Amino acid sequence: MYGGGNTFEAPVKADGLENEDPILLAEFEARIARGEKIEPSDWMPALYRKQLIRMIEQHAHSEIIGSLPEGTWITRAPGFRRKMAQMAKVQDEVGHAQLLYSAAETLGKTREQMLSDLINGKSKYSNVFNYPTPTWADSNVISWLIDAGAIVNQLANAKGSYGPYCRALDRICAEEAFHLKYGHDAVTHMATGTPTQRRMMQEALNRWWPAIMTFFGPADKMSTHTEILMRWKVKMATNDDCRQQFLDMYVPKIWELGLTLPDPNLHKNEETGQWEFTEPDWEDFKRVINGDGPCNKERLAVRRAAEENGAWVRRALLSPQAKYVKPLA
Amino acid sequence: MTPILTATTMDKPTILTWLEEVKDPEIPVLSLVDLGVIRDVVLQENGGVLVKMTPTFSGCPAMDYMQRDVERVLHAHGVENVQIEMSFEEPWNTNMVSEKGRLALKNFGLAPPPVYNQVLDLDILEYATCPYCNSQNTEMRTPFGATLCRSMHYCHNCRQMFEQFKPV
Amino acid sequence: MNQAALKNLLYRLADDQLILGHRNSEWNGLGPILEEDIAFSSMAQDKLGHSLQLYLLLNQLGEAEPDTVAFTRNAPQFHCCQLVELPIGEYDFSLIRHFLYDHAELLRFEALGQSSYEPLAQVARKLKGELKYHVLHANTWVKRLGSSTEEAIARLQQSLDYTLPYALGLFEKTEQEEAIIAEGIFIGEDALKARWEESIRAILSQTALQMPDLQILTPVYGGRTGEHTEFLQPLLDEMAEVFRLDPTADW
Repeated sequence: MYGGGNTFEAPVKADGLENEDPILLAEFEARIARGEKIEPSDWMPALYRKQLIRMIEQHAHSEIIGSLPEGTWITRAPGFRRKMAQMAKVQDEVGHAQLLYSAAETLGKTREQMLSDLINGKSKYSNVFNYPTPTWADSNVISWLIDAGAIVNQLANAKGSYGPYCRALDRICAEEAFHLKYGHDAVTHMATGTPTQRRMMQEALNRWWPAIMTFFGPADKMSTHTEILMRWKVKMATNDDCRQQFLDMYVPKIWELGLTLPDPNLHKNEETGQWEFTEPDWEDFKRVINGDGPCNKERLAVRRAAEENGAWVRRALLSPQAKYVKPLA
Repeated sequence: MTPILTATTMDKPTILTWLEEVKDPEIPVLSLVDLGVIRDVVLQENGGVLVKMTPTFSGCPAMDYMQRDVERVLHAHGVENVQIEMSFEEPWNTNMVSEKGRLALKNFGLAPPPVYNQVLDLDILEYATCPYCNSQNTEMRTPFGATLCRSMHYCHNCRQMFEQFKPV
Repeated sequence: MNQAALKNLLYRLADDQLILGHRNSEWNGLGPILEEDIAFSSMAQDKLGHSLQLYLLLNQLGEAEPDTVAFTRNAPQFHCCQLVELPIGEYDFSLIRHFLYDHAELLRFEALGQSSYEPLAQVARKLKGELKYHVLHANTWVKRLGSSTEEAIARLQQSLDYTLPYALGLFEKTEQEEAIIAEGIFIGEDALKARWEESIRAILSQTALQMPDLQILTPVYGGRTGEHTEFLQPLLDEMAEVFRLDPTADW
């Protein structure tokens, strides 16, 4: 659902490549240039493997952590229709995490290891989920705009070079498109509702806008050099490209609903065709990524509790006495 | 301007062709006709069209959107009076997914639901065919997937997870 | 047809599904493995769908809209058994509750497929296919964990002993019981309970778990007539929280 992991890049340098077999490397790069997909049992440079694991893993973590704030709104969602849609959406997200962890596992890192790195803070997830969702309208904003951002990102990455990740993304995008419909529907309903509903929606949008502007990661001018990742089709679009595309598609839709955005400088420069806006507070962004956001501790605490409380189940599944039951039997 | 059609200028096959445009909101390659949720189309004397539908899963949130899409598409073709009847009279099961629909699912990377005789024995879930490599060396991981209509499987041959549109 | 009897039965069925559906949904993010988050969430979705279909039947019989009926009543107006309203607790409790409940539900809806009230029979025949998956899931996990480590077996046994009296509350009869059977709407709670006992025994006998003697247990009754645990009202308040922000709004 959420943010492919191009938000947190470690500095990527092409070093280490001198240890790779030059012939295999050339062949690998040629295959990618021809648009072929790399499959789990194919040869790949260690750096490619490492970067993909990082990216898919972060994406998977974003799905499960992202399901938490929306999950708390299932019991509270007003009425059957919205409740069932909210439930289905949250479940999709966890289902996507499952597909993504499985795609990452084909590269050699186990799900257990990934989950333990999530809890011990070694690997990250999309920063937007470190912000609170105090009202039903906040949950609607996530359903629409965060999912919209995710789709922009994922549609680009689905054209990447690693087969299992692309296939997972294809499936995920189809489902996301449905969430987007649901999210848009929910936001429209609130934005055209009673004064209370409209006020709730505007306030939620004001709260979320700064985070949404950071969703695609730091501006290209300040982000790490990613040329090799682009050449290997690990990363398919720059942060700025994704952000521009998102603004182009969604700002007009938001304005159409009679909602406003809390940035007086936000406008499209008709000459350049680019959106201009107040530069997001990247210092704050870094602070939150590094653990000091309003909800980081809470999110990880839930995850940690789940791991601890469920440990006996996982131990039992591994026990040699466990009667092997075909999932059916 | 779209001409207003009446019962004398349209027939059931035409309407069914139009309805091919309505896809499952989460599986954009599968039409509702091929999914089997559109059970019948009845032309009414007043020029209206009655579409008889049956839900897949009772808790499926996409049903709501499917109904609206049916209305939208028929309106777009000039049918002003569209009535939709949701009924359990002929409850949906996966044997109602058409051959064309099964092929579309497979090409989309979803193993199509196995066809079964009369009574469904869930052991059938153990024998899914991988939609990517056609291997039957697979095992079911869990009968509940990301959406209500899917189960999760693992292919030992191409070493990846896949989803099956599960039999009901 | 005896409408009072029919409505009484429908309220019990719908309220059970509605409340347990909400409880199951609380497993999001908390399951011991991701597959279990998804399984509980799927079952929750199914159960909410089932309750909606049943409230629609009530609506056709003159009761209020499903949203009104489901989200504006208070605890004393609910007819669910107490089993479904208990908090999710630890995974062993939720698994055992799911096992005991869904065996009963599958058998209940199988029987209702023959109901003399055709609209209910149609819904029941539809839901049965979905419930099969719930029972399959419960059986798989009870068999797996119930024959694994000492720790897991002890946890499951403890939960089984604790939960069974509540599960017997599923079969609490109301004053309409005779009419329901006489009209052919449903086979009745005693007949269902007998089938259920046989069905869960068949699974438990394949594990290291001991089935307590049901004869000496005191069933927890009261839910069917509006007596509930302290846990139901807070859940209902949560379910109505957004509605109450603006009761005039369409949400």
